[in-house]
Amino acid sequence: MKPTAWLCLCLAGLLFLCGLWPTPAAAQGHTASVTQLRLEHGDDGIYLHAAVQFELPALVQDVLDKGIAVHFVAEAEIYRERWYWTDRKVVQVARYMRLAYQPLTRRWRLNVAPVPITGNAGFGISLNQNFESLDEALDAVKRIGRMRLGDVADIGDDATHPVVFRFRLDTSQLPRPFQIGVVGQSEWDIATERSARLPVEKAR
Amino acid sequence: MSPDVSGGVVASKAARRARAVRWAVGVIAALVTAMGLVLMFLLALATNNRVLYEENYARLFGINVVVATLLMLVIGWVAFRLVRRLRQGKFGSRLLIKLAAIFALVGVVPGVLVYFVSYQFVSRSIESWFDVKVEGALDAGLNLGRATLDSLSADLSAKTRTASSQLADVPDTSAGLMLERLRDQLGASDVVLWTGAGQVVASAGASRFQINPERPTPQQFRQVRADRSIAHIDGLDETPVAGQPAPVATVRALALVQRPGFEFNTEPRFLQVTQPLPPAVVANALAVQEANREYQERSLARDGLRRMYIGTLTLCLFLAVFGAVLLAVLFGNGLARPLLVLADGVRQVAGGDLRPTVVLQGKDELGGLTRSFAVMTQQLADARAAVEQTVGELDAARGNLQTILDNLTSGVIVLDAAGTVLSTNPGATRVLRAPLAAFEGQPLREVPGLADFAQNVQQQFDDFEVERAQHGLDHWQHAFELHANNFGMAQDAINIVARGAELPGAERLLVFDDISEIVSAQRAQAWGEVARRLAHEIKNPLTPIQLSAERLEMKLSGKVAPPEQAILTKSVKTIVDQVDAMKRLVNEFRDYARLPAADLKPVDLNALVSDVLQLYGAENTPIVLRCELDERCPPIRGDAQQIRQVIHNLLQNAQDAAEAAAAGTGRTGEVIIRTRLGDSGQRVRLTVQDSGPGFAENILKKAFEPYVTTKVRGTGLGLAVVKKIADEHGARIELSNRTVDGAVAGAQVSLSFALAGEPQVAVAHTEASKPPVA
Repeated sequence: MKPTAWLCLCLAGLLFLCGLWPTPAAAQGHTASVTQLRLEHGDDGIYLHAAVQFELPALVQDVLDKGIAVHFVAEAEIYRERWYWTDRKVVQVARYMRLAYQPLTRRWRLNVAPVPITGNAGFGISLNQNFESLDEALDAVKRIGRMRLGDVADIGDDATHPVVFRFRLDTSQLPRPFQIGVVGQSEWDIATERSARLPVEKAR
Repeated sequence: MSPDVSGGVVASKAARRARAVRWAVGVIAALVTAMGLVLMFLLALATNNRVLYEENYARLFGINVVVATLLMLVIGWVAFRLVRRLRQGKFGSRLLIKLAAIFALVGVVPGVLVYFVSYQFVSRSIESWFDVKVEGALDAGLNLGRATLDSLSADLSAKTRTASSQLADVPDTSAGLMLERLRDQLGASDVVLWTGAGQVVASAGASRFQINPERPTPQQFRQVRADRSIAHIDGLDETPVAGQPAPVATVRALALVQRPGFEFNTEPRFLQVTQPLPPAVVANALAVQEANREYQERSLARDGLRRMYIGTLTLCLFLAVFGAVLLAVLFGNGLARPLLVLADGVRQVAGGDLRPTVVLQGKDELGGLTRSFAVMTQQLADARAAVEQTVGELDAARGNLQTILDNLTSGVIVLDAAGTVLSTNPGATRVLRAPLAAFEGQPLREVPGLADFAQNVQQQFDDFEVERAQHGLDHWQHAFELHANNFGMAQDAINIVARGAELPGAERLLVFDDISEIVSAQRAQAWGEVARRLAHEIKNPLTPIQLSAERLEMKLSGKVAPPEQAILTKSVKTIVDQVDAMKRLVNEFRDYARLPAADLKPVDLNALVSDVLQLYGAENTPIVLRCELDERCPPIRGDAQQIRQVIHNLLQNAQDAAEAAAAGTGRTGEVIIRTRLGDSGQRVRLTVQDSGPGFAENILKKAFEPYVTTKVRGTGLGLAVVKKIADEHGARIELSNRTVDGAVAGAQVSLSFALAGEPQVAVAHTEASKPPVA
């Protein structure tokens, strides 16, 4: 009996060591950072402009070269401060980006949509751009311009607003079997977040 | 029996609890196993449905791991319990472990085998999907499509360049016509002539109806200036959406229109030609691209895929193995339990504990075995209970018998054929006056003083055996006299009547009673009769003898010579005196024999004693007579005449004894007569004490029999009469020696009379114990 139990324990240990069980790996982000973040008062609402900087790991680039789409997500949240309670989330918007290589035309293609681009959904309302090279496409990805947060009435006209901006590589949009191998690998972990109190600037 | 019952209750409670625990464990184990199986099934099912599988894989995997952990915990617990039971040396743990190990082995080994085969199979087959040839083919297909598109665009580019040369000399105003011609010529859908600033000069085709047709980028214009013409493909990027028509892909060429140099500083013109791509080419190219993408996806994900499948397999193995081990333990338990119950029962029965054993309700042979065993145990218990009851009854009967035997006045001896004493009762010791209990196991003849008796008994038994054979008698009876010597009536002889019978097993039963008193009574009666007749016979001639002698003296007196006269007178006096003496003797005989029945009336004993004492004047004897009368004495029931006789006899005896004792030593003898009301207030005691020599031991026993005397001239009837009168009065009579400092200091006779107010009580001699004499 006892040897069997030991054997079971050993097998279980092996199982865990093999990493078959998706353990939440230490979030050791690649050198991604938010280099620019500002709010702007547009004609019909408040817009957010941001720029992120990251190096695309070789593995991800390899995957991209093989024609597999990689998704990025940029999210922004604005809070309203409440002295009596935790801050209330006033606005939450997201921008989903899908970057893919087109082997037939040797061009890079970037879809941008306010909803996750999975399957057929998102394509319909997506804005697409073509780029001749990966760098151009990545520049487009890194530069998040004119992200509409909402009306002034919704957000309020305070001098400054607490803003949280997140940018990450969305591994959940990768093909599932691929995810099993990918999740927990640090090379796929491109994510950054920045919180700041920002004034609303006038449109230039 | 109450401890047994309570023990049984506790045991059954413990058994019930153990059963409940076992049941709960079984249910939990079954549930976990079932859950694991369902999950395993789902996992396997989900593998078929890719989308569902991929979406829920992680969750399923997690649940399975949790189930596996649970199972592992359960197994660990079970294993721990088993090992602990083994350590404690609990009964049956070895068998359990063996069974569990066998079942587990049977369950695990095939599972592991299948697992390894599947493992190999899965990893090999996954690898085999990703063939270099397939990848190459896809790549080639992709290249083919790309080359096709390239050649199409190059072709259009070349044609556009040629066409642009045709446009070189055409003025802007007539360009429209020319463009229309070109469109027809090239088979294009749309032809536009741009200025360098991106303004439409002229157009033909679909774009003519657009207000603001799509304009090439400045970058493109720059490129065209350098390369004279470029071409690129539009609309191919759209990922085909199911249910919608494939997008119209076009190839668009842009060429610089070289204008003759006579007009310096004129703006260059750009010819843009848009031509639809053949739909078949577009569809196939997209299909190849899609396939390639998917292939690449999977190729990249194959590690993940393999991990997924192997993880599933491993989990299945774990679940199966754990399930198998758990079921093995449970089944082993179930299988071993009847055996354990049986073995436990056997041990219990061997230890003498016949309480009902556990019965299993199984329908199989093992359950039947436990039932049979329980029935057997029950029968054993019943049999033992019956035996115990019988033995108990027997013991009680024996105890009764022993008590009866011990309290029998008769003696009982059990002998064997050789005359060896097997058992005796206290009565035998009492009757035979020999320590018979100490001689058990020894021949009866070796008991001191019983040799003759033993011989006689043996003789009787031998005769009896012969007699029985002839006449069918079942016992013999014979009277013996023990301690008899040759001098006729021995004073310490014991008369017994013995009865012998045969016991089963060649043992002999000898029962005997002391009939000395009966014999004594009979003897007294016989003597009384003899005395009466003798007195009558003797008394009859006495009066004629006396009369004759007196007449002889009267007639001859004075007629014979004085010497003869003296002889005559003396002889006649002798005759008359002797006849008087004889008359007195005869009267005493008669008095004893013909004592009249007592006429019981209230009598004042003290008055009677005082009355009698009048006759014993101090001057007559040297004996001091003391009288101690209790004034409280109430009247007693008695015949005054007879009681007077008793007092008289006793005083006479005492005086004689004291006188005899005093004569030798010169001391003054004394006699004390005393009356006293008993402590209970129910009887009055009359005691006469003397300072005589007391009674010899043999005399003491027979002192009340007639003609037993210590006096030279006594008739031996005094005490016999006393005894008789006392019997008539229902009075207790006791005769004993007075002892002072261990030496005999005289004799004492005491009688206790019933009060006048009392009804006549039972006769005195039936009382078992004699009260001590003061």
